[in-house]
Amino acid sequence: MIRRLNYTGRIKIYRADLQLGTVESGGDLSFNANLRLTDYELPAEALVFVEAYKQTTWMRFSYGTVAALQPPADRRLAEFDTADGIRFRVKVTQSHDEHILLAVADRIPLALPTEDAASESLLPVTGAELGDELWQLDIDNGEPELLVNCTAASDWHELSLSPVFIALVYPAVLRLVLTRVLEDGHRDTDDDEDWRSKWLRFATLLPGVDPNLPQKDDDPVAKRWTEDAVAAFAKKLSLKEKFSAAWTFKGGA
Amino acid sequence: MRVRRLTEAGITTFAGWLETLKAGGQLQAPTALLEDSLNTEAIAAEVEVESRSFANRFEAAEYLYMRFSTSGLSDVEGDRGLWAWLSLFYFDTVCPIGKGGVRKPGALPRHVPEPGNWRRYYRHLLAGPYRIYRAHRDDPKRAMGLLCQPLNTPGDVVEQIASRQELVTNRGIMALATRLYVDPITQKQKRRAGAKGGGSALRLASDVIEQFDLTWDLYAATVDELVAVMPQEFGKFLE
Repeated sequence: MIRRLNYTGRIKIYRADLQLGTVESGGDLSFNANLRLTDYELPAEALVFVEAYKQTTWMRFSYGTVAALQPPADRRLAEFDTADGIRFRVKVTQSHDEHILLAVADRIPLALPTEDAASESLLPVTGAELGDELWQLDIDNGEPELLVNCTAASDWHELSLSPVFIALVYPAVLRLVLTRVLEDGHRDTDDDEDWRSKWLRFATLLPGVDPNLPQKDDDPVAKRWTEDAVAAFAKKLSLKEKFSAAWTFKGGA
Repeated sequence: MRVRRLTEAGITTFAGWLETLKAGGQLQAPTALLEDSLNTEAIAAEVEVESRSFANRFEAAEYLYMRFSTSGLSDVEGDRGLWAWLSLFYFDTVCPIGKGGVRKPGALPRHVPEPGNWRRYYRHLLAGPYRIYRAHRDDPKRAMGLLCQPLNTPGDVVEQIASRQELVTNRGIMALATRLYVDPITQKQKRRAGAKGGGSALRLASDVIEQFDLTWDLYAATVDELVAVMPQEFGKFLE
């Protein structure tokens, strides 16, 4: 495994301190950003940038300094045809050397007007074209995201909420995520801004799961702990019962 | 011919033929689909394309960009049926008959794009270079590192860099990839650029740049600044 070293002591900006939303007016898509950076002990003169991106489309906006945020007058997302799938990065760099990164937040989704940090989902679900596969777990780019084949049913969102789908897919997702987190050597359950901590905490709070995390990455104990968590998850949600009911209702065997 | 879009039925038929092709079936592409009213539909603009070959990914991307950028169409990149139609239209170019009279189409996303799939969207043999060209349209030659390859064999330099959003959109890094891996005289990819050894695109993308990205805001870095801090192993590609 490649170990990445953060020599600069770069600060992670919490999502709770960032809110980004789009506005559509006269056919133009633009965005608003509400950034709270004053509590991070960053230099007042450090430069702030907001980047919007999706695959090969990318735009960058200069947002003034930490002490004097200055949203640009033109915040149109002219490069993007739709708001779907747009993510944002916020970067803070040294003022005398724009290359040195002082703080960053990445993969920030657009906030819906009713969303708040407290209701943030542990597992964002997105429709995607996946060929003949029904679902995939995107876990290589940070926070896990469940991709559901958007052409497999007339309404992929409805599919993702169906009892059959939940019963078959979610335990597998939990197993994959916990395995990855433990393989990474992550054991902290208290960092509210680290998705790995949130998943571990979720698992330790399931009924009957040992709150003491296995300490070795490749220990069979880690595998057993993960399997216990998946079984507890399935039991808590009565997945077999819900699956059977849905299967019978649909006229299955 | 006027560009159309394959319908879901058309895509299914095209994909089915690709499967039979892999199994040694009929070599002749089902070009009758291109104007078939059941398998295609009109797009919202009149765009004409000619049957022709392309020397490399750059030439194809430039040709298609010139046609679509002024067409008034929105979300061209995300139009799966449109790119599948173009793949079928240019099939002899994106999947030529090779040694032994065999075509090797490879995986389906090379011909039918998956624009919503971050793992595979860039693999389409026409939409992939088009996206890169469009992202660097202010100076497309900057992206030659990912556009100098033959259309049907993008190779590992493209795979390693195009698969990483933060690299493929970065002007400095794309110019660096071009400086490192494109022969300035022949405009072709240098030997061993796509290998796994020192100084390769794999090392650049997976180790070096990822490490730099932790400490630098790479979007502000110029190609000369990046060249100056490249590890010694890249020296052989800078000579």
